[in-house]
Amino acid sequence: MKKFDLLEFRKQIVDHNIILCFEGKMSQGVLVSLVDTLKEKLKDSDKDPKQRMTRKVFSIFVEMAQNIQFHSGESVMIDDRETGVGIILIREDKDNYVLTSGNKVAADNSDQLSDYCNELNSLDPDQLKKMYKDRLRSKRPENSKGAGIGLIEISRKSGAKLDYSVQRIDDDAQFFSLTITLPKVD
Amino acid sequence: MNDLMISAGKDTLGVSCDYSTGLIEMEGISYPEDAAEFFNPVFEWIDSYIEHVKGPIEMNLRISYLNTSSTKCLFDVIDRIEEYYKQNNSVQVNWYHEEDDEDIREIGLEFKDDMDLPFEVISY
Repeated sequence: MKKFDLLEFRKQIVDHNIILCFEGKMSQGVLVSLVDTLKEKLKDSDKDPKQRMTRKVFSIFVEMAQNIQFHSGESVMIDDRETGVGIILIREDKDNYVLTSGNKVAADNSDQLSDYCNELNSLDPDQLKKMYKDRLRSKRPENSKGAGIGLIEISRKSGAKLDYSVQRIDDDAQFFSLTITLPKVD
Repeated sequence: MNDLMISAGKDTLGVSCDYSTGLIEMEGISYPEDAAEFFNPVFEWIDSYIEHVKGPIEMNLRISYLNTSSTKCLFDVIDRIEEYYKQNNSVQVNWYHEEDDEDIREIGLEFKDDMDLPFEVISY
C-alpha cells in the first residue's frame, strides 16, 4: 500500500471543517450508523433550541445519501440488494452547514440529470411545491426504490438553487456532485 | 382477519392495526431502503379490513421523520382511506406533530390540503 501521511490527512479534515465524511457502499446499515453519528454531532448545537436546523440538515443528508444508494452509476450487490457507491460529507463553520455528495453517473445519463437539476433551479417555491405534490400523486418511477422526489425535497428544504457539477471520469462515466449550503440563521 | 403489529426499528415506523376497532397507529421515524416493501403489509391489512370488516377507520400518526419515499407511501395509504371515505364510510385521520416540528406539521398540512377526508393536524 502507498505511504499515507495521517497528519496531512487530518490537517485537510480540520482545515475544511469536515465533521462527517463517508466514501463507499451506501448500504442501509451504513446509512443508519451515519445518521446516528450525525445526530450526536448536531446534538449540542445551542444555537438551535427548536431543532429546526438539525431537522433540515438531517433530512437533506438522508435524501442525499439515498440518492447515492438508489441512483449511483456505480453499485454492488449487498444481501441481494443493489447498493450504490458514493461519497458524502458535511462541513460546519460558525455560519453554515455545507453538505456535499458525489457519485458516478453513466455518461449516457448525465445530461438528463443536469437538465433535471437546471429545471428544478428554474422553478420558484410554489412551482416546486406543485411538482412535489404531483409526484406524490403519480406512480412511483419504475425500477426505483425512491419516489423521484429527493432532489425536489432538497431544493425546497434548502431554499437555494442546487449547486451541482459534472466532471468527466472517462468515456463511460461522469462524476456528479451536489453541494447544499445551509446558513445557521433561523 | 388478524391485527397487524410491527415494532419500530431504527429506520422504520412502529405500526399497529386493530381490526376489532379499525384503529391504525403509526409512530417514529421512517427512511428504510425500500419504503414500498415496508408499507406493503399495511396496504394489505387495510384492503383486507375494507373488504371483510367494512367498519370505521381511525388513523393516528405520531411521526418525527419521514424521508421522501416514505412520504409517498404514507400518502398512498391515506389516499386509500380517502377512497373508502368517499364510499360513505366513517374515517378519521389524526396527524400529530411536536409543537416545534415545522417539517412534520408542513407534511401534514400538505396532505390535508390534497385530501378530501376528515384530517386533523394536531400539535402536542
